[in-house]
Amino acid sequence: MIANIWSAKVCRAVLGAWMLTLLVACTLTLPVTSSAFAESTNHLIEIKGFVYDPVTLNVNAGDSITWVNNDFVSHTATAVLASSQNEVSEVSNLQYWTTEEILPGGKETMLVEQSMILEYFCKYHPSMKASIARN
Amino acid sequence: MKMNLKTASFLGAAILTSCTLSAQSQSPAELNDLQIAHVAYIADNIDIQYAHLALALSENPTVREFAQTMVRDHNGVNAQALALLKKLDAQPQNNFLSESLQADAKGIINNLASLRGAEFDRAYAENELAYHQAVNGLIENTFIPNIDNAEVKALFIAGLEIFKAHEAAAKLMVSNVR
Repeated sequence: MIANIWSAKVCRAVLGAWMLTLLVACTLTLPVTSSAFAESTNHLIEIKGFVYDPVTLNVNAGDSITWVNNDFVSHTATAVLASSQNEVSEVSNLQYWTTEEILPGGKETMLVEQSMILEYFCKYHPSMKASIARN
Repeated sequence: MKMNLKTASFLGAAILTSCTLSAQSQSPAELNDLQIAHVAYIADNIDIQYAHLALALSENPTVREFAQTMVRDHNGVNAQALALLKKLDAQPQNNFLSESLQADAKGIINNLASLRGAEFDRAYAENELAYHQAVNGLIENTFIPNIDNAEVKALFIAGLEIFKAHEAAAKLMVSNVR
């Protein structure tokens, strides 16, 4: 009887531990599993005539963006840093990014991250501006 | 006072460039495609010369970044122009406007080379704005309407997009170095 009670307690404890383990495992693995199944997209932005096309692009974190330069001079895609004191506080937690020089006929690819700055420009030709919009 | 005189003299030279472009006894509107190509090639090289001077004399990051872009872009445009001339089996032809531009540039370079520090930065920035405004006006209003060859015209239209972006960047640079 004692053995049975002990046995039942052990069984409950083992079962409880197993269920807890299962729960923790599910909690830990579910987001990874769901993101692993989510489709990541590679978006294309054409640079032609000193314009980024599309000028606004909707993306998800984990997607990638490829800029293709069809002009005959080099460009970049470079995050716009805050230009005023008010903007500093808004973007201080956001991540600065830039592509390398995108040569004429060349391309550069970048991974979309959750905390990246959304406005960007060409650092060689600051009048060229565009933005990323996260879904 | 000496600095102001130098700046005034330099600005006079820049304005003279604009006048030279629009008021010659020989008209830019009468140039043929190969003469226009020569003017464009000379104008590109003049801006590259200004940029090299800026890279040698300026420590201002905005000025240096702009000058590097001028070297990169104008060399890119020249490479395209030379490739097209080779394809067309044509040689650019020297003319009064090319010579006038070179003469003006010589004076401007002499003035710029005598300046240092913030004074140089301001003079370089203002000259870049004036120079791009003058040359862009000439390309848009005189050259493009008068070019006969379709491929040469297309190259000038593409070039004008680049030079207008330079003009916008020069405007920003002027306000940054003031």
